Amino acid sequence: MEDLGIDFDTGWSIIESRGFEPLAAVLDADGDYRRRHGTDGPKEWNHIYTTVYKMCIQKTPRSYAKDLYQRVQSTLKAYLRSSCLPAIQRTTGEESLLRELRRRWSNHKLMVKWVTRTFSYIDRYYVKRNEEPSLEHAGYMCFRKEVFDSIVASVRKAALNIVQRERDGDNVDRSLLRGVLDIFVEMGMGKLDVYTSEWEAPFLEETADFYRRTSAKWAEEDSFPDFMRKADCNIIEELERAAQYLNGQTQERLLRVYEEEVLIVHQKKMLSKDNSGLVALLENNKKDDLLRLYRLYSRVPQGLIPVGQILKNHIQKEGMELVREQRSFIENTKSEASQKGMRDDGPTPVTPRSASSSSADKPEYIQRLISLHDRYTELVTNCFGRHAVFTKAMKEAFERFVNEQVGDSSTAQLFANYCDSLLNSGGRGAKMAESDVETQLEKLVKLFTYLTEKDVFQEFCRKQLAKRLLLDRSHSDDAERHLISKLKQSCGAHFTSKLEGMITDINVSRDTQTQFREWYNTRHRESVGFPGNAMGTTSSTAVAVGSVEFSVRVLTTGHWPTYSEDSVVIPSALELCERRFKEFYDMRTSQRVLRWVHSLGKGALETSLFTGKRAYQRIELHVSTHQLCILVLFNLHDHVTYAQMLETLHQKSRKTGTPSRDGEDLLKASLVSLMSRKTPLLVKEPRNREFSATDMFTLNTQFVSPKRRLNVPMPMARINEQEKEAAHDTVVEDRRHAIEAAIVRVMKQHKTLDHQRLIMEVSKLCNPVFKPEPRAIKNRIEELISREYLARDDSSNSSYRYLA
Amino acid sequence: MRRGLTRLSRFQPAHRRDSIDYAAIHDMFNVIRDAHVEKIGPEGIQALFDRLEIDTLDIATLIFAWKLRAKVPFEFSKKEFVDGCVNLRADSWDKLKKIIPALKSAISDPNDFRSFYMYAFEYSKPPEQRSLPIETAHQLFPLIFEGRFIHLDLWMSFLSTRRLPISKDTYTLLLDFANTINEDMSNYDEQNGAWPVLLDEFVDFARPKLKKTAQ
Repeated sequence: MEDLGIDFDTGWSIIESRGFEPLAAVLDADGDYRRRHGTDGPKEWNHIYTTVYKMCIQKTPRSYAKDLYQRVQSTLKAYLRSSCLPAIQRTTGEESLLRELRRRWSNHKLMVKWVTRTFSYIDRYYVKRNEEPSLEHAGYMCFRKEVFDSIVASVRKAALNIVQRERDGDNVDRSLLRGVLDIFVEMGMGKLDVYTSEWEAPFLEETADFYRRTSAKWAEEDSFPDFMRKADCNIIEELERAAQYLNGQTQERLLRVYEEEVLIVHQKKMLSKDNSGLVALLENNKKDDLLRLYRLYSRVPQGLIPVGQILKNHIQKEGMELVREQRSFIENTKSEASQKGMRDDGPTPVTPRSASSSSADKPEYIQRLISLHDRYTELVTNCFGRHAVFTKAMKEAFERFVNEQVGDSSTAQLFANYCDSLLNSGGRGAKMAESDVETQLEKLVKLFTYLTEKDVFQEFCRKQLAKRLLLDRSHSDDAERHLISKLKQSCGAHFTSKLEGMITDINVSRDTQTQFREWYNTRHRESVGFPGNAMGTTSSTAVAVGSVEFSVRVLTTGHWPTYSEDSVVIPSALELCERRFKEFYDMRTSQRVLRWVHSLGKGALETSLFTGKRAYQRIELHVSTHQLCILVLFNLHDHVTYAQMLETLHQKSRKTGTPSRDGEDLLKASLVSLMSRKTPLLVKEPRNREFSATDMFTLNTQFVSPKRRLNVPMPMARINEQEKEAAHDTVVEDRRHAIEAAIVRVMKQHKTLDHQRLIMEVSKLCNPVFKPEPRAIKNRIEELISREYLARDDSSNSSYRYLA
Repeated sequence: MRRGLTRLSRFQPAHRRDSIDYAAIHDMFNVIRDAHVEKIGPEGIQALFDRLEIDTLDIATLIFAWKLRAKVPFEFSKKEFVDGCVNLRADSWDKLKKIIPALKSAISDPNDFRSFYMYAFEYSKPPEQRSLPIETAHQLFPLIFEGRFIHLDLWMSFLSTRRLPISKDTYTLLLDFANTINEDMSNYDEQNGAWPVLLDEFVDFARPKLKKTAQ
C-alpha cells in the first residue's frame, strides 16, 4: 500500500491529543503518569512515535522536522505559561512557593523526558544536522524563560529568608532548599553561571551583611575568648549548611566572606581587647583559647601576622622585664658590696668589681631566660602548631633581649658561666642527674642560637673547659661531649673544633702518661718503690720520680687558651721530673717543643704540721704548683721575706732586671690564699693588706687543719678580670680575621662586587657566629685595599675588584 | 689615579724643542745643586724657590714638583730638574719665574687636579710607607684643598683628633668626597656609599657642628 503521508495538522493533533494533553493532565493532578498510561500500553506510544517518524521522513514539502521541533517548544511554552506559572504564583508563603516550584520543575523534567523520547528522531536527525539545541536543552530553556526568569527574585527572597531563619536558630526544610538550589544549578544547563549570579552572589552578600551585624555585636559585647568560641561555632554551622544544600563551589567562597566579616574585620580590636585580648590570654596561659585563636586565624591569609607581632612584643616585654630586674639586682648588690668593702678591712682583698661580676654570674638569670624560652617554645609548639610566623616572632623577641647587656658581663659570658656551673664538679650540675644536666645544656644551646656574640661565648667556654679539664673539675665526660655535640649541631664543626681538640688532648695525655710510666719504670727502675698511694690526688698512672709522684698533660697549642709563660723557679725535685719527662717526650717526637705552664699545675704536700692534737700524724695540703713552691721554701727557712720569695721563685726578666709584674701579681695572689681565713698556713709581719719587700712570712704553727686533706684555694680556679679582658681581645682579633676571611671568600667568588652586596654577603657569612657592624666590615675592606687584596673598581668607587 | 698623567704633554708649548738651551738648564742646575751628590737637596730647593720668589708653603712648590715628576720629597734629581725645565720650556731663571703663575692654572681642570692630587700623596708620604703620616696630612691638606673643599676647616679640626695615618684609599676618596659633599652634608650616604670609615666618622663629627652653626 502506498503511503500518501500525513499532513502536519493531522499529525500534530494526534501527538497533542494522545500525548501532551493526557500527560499534562496527569502531571497537574500530581499522579503517576506511568501507571495511568500503563493501561494505554506501548501501542499508544508506538503510534505517536511512528507518527513523528513519518512526519520527519516525508519528502519536502511534507518534511515537518523543523515544524515539529518548533511546535514542541511552543506547546511546552504555552503549557508552562498557562498552567504552570500561575500555579506557582498562586501559592502563598515562602515555603509553599518553593515547594510548588520544586514540584513543577520535576514535572517539567518528566515532560521534557517524555518529549525527548517521543521525538528522539528529531534529536537524532534534525538537531544534529542543523546544530540546534537538543530537545532536552530546549525544553529546559522553555522552563527557564517562561517560569524561572519571572519568579527568580521572589524565589531567591524566599530561600534567603529561610536561610536567615535557620541562622536564627529555626529548624527548616533543608531538603527543600537543596531542591530549589539545584534548580538554580540546572538552569545553567551544565554551567554554574545562573547559580552563581542569581543565587550565590546575593547569598554571599546577605551572609556578609548578616555576619557584619552579628560579629559587630559580638565584638562589642563579648570577651575575646567568647568571641572566638562563637566564631568557631558559626564556622561549623556554615560549613554544615554549605555541605547540606549549597553547591560545592560556594563553600570556599562562603568561608572567605565569613572570615572577612568575622575574623579579619575585628581582628585588631579583639586581639588588643582589654583584659581578654591576646596579651591577657598569654599572661594567663589560656591554652584552649590560644589554640582556638590559632585555628581560626590560620584560616585567614596573613591572619597570623598581627598575632605574631603581639606575641613578639609580649615576649620581648617579658624578656626586657627580666633584664631590668637583673640589672637593678646587680645595681643593688654592687652598692651593697661597695659599702661592705668600705667597712670591711679583712685580709681578703675582694674588689667590688669582682663581687659585682660574680653576682651577675648568678645562674638564676640564665635559668629564668631558659624557663621563659621553655614556656614559649611549649606555647608555640602546642597551641600555634610551630607555625613559621610564631617561631620567627619568638626568635626576634629573644634575639632582642638575650643580647642586652646585663651588668658588667655580656650575656654570652653569662651563658658560658652557666655552662660551667652545670659542668663543673663544684657547680650546680654536680648535684643534678646526668640527664637533667643534659636537658639543661640542650635548652641552653637552643637559647644560645639567639646570641649574636657567639664567639664571645666560645672564647669563655673554651677557657672554662680548659680549667675544668686541667683541674679535674669536670664531673661528667659525657655531659661535656653532649654540650660540644649540641654546639656543633647549631654552629658547625669549626665552632667546636678547639673544644674537641682539648678533650682529645686530655685523653691522649692519659695514654702518654701511661707510656711515660712504663718507660720510666724500665729505665729508672732504681727509684721505684716510693709508697705510691700516699698522695691522694695524683692519679694511679702518676710516675714516681725520685720522691715525687708526677704526672703530665701535654696540650696542643692553639686548642687551648694561651697561657702566659711563667717565670717560676721550681724546686729541684720537680725540675728533675720535668727533665725526665722531656727525655721521654723528645724520644717520641722530634718536631715538638715542650713548654711548661706551671700556672696551671697543682700538687699535694704531706706535712706533719697543722695537725694539732688530732689522731692523725700527717695531713695533705692541696695547692697550686706556685703555692707549693712557696711552701717548700719553709723546708729550709723559718722566716722568709717577701723580697726573698720574689728572688727565689721568679726569674728576673732580662730587660728590667726585676721580676716581672705578672710574677709579682701571681706571688701576691698565692700568698693571699695561703693566708686566707680558712687556710691560714702562713702569717705575715706586719699584719696588713699591703705587701712590701721587707714583710716577713712564717709558718702559722697555731693553725690546726680541720680535715686530713686541706684544699687551699687556687688563685686561677676562676676566670679573673685579666683573663676576661684577654678573652675579649681574642674575640676582637678573631673577628677581624673572620671578617677578612669572609670578604676574601666573597670577593674570590664574585671577582667584582658592589659595596652593599659585599657588606650583605659578609654579614651573612659572619652571622652564625656574630653580627659584624658595617663599619667593622668597612675597616677590614680598607685594610684589604691597602694590602692590595682588593681595589676599588675603576668605574665606580662603590664597587670592589678582587686582585688575585 | 693614573688617569690624567698623560695630560702633562698638553702644556708643552708649540715651538720646536731645539730652541731650548740645554747648557743653560745644566748651568741652572749646577748653581743650586748639592755640593756632594748630583742632585738638588733641601737647601738647593730653598734657594730655587727664593730665586723664583715663591714661598715654600705655596702650593706652587708642589705643582712645580709635580711638573718635574719628582719622586722624593725635598729633592730633585738632575734628570728630573733638566727634563722638567725642558718640558716647561724654561732655560733661564727669568723664564722659569714667568711660568710659575701659570702653574696654578695647570690644576684648574678637575682631571689635572686629580692627577696632581694623587701625585701629592705619593710625593708627600715617606717612600717606605703606604700611608700618609698624620703630621704630613696636617700640612698637605690646607695647601692642596685651599678653596676646593667647603668643609676644609672642619676636616682639619677633625684630623687633629686623629692619630692614625691616612691610607691611600681614604686619601683618594677624600677628593671625591670634597667634590660632591654639600653644605650641610645631607647628601652623604653612609649606608649605600662605600666611603671609608674615616669619612663616616668625619661626617659624624661634623654634622652636629654644622647643625649648630645653621641654627
